[in-house]
Amino acid sequence: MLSTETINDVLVVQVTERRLDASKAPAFKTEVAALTEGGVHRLVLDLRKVDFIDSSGLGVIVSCLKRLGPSGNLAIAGANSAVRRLFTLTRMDRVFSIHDTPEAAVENMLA
Amino acid sequence: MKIRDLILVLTIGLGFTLVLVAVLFLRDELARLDTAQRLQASNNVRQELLVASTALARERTKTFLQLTAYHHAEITENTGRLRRDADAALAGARMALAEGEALMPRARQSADILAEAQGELAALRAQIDRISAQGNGNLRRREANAWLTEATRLIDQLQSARLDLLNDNRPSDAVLAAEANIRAFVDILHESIAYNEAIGVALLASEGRARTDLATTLQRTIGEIDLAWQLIGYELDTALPPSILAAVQKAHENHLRTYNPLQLTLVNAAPNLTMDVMMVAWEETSDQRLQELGDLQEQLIVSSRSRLDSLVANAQRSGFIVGLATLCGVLAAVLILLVIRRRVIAPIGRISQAMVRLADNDLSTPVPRATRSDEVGVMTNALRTFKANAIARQRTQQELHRVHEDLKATYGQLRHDLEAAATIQLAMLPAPDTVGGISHTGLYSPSSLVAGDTYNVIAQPDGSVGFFQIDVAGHGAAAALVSVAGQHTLSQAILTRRREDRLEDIVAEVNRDWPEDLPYFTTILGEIDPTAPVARMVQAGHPSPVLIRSDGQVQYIGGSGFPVGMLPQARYETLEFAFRAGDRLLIYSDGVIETENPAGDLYSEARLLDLIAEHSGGSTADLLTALQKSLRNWRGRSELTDDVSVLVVERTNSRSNHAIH
Repeated sequence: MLSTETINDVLVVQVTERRLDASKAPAFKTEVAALTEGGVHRLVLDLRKVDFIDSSGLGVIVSCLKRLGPSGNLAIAGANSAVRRLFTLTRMDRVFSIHDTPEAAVENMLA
Repeated sequence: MKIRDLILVLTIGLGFTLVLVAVLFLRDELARLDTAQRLQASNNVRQELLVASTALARERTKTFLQLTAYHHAEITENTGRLRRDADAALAGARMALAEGEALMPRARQSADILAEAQGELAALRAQIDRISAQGNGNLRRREANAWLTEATRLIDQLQSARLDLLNDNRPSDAVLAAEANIRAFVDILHESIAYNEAIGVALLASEGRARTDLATTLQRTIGEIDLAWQLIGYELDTALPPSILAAVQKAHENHLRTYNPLQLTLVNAAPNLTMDVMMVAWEETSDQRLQELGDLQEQLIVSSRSRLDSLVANAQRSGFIVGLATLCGVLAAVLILLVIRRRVIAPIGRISQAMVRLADNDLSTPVPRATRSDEVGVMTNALRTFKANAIARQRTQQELHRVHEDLKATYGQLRHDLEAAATIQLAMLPAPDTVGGISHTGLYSPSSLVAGDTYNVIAQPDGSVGFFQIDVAGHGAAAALVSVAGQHTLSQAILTRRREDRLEDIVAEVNRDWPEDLPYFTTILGEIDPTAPVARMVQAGHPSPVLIRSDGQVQYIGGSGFPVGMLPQARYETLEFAFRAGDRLLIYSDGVIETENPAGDLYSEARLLDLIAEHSGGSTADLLTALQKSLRNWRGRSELTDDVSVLVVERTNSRSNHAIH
């Protein structure tokens, strides 16, 4: 459900599922936990392929941020309008920085 | 047809064929034995007849010579001994005929002929003895000629009887046939030489016309002798025993060397000239030839008899062997049948019965342990394995069935529990009512039995009416339990609210105290002022509610806010908005706008707003019914994937409302 790449030493995790909902959330949480094991503090979540995120999906994304620790930095890239609306509604746009592309997210993160 | 019957039929067929072949062989062997025995019997009679006719021929010639008294005194033989020889041979022939009566069709007839010949011979001898005693020379010579003729006739009868017997039982064996023929020809030779011995002596003593006749007779007989030798010569092409061949050739050579020159001299001799010398020489030579032919005859008889004996012995031996082989064959067939029955048919029958019963799931069928390592043993062991596997499989199935029953029972219990929980959860929702001038109606549709959605409307001590809707992240039992906790917490917070506590403080406090390991929830917490035409609300991650004005205008109000239980330090704001009599606030969980149609499109805020606008003129109940119907149509055949709940609060035209005006 995830594919990863590294851009300028920043781990970019792409969600390859169309929906991130209650049925996918536990697996997503487990996989991200495995990827960030061993002190990863910066993470870009690429949501370009995701059409829909429900409350459970949002919950696991926040739990990912918490896993990154107090100095952790989680950025969202490529979220569609529905997903952006969810972030806005729940004010997660104030917690995560939201960008159009992973590259932009990485650049912003390193700046 | 069962294998058992098939093997039975095949084995019996094999045994029967074996017996049939053996019987055919045995019949042939018995026929050979019978033939050999017939030949032997016939040969015995013919042998005696041969001896008899030989002896009689000599008796005849010697008696003739005695009667005519031509012969020299020294060469006169004792006719008594010759008579005894002839009688003994004739008696022997009759005895042999009696012994072999069953084997020779002509035995009785031949015996009668012999008896008659014996009678005639006895009469002739008596006549001769009487004449001899008288001593009249002329009478004796006349009687001598009569004797010669009669005796010769008797000899011919014996020979004829012998040839009849030979023709009845002509041997198929080439050597035996050749020997029989040679014996017949040698007999003719013997008879002819014996006859000519008498004729030759008579010829030497005669003269004139009688001499001419005798010479003619002599020469005719000599022709018969030559013919006999010639016929014997033909038989020599057969593979005769070497001793017989040598004896025949020697006799012929001796004949050609001694007898032929003498007969020429005899025919051409002058009368009375050398009578005595010639007579002696003729008699001597004739007797030598007769002796030699007698010996040859004896050799032939011995050879034929031994050959016949060996033929009989062979036939008996082959008969015995074939009989033994037949017996062995039958025994083998029976043995094979018994072995196959015991080692194959019976165990296969038992195995097939066990297989049929096992196939019928009768696992108590006993399958005894195999004691053999052959195919039957392998089959038995395979069947035992099959049975063991079947028993194991049956146990597994029983175990599975038991587990399944347990699961069913557990599931039933769980479902029962959930149904009870659902009843309780439903009971916790406020029924449509009017509290402090505020009427409220709800719509509640869980995706499973219980829901993570809940709502409540509570009149506060100060007269204001508090309300909230909660949507716990996720759904199902866990979300339902959390929703109960959330409802209790918010309800208590409203009931125990102090006058100075603002709405956003209540939400912030709940958020701060919310256990980290519980799912978060979104909520709209609001209150309707009893004294002023306003209402206030805190939006915490919940979708923006719809404000339905009394005149039918609809609009979303609010914007955003942190969910409760996600970030402990989150801050919240209270939104205050005009809420007059007839105004309605419709709060809904995200399950409404996120309901998907079969194509995957969301119901969306826009459609919700359109539907509400369409029905904003009607009653709240009608509006909710229309919404429910619209959502169901949108969803199509499928079940809901998320909990759906709606709460509508309305300021009625109450006393407090009038107070404002």
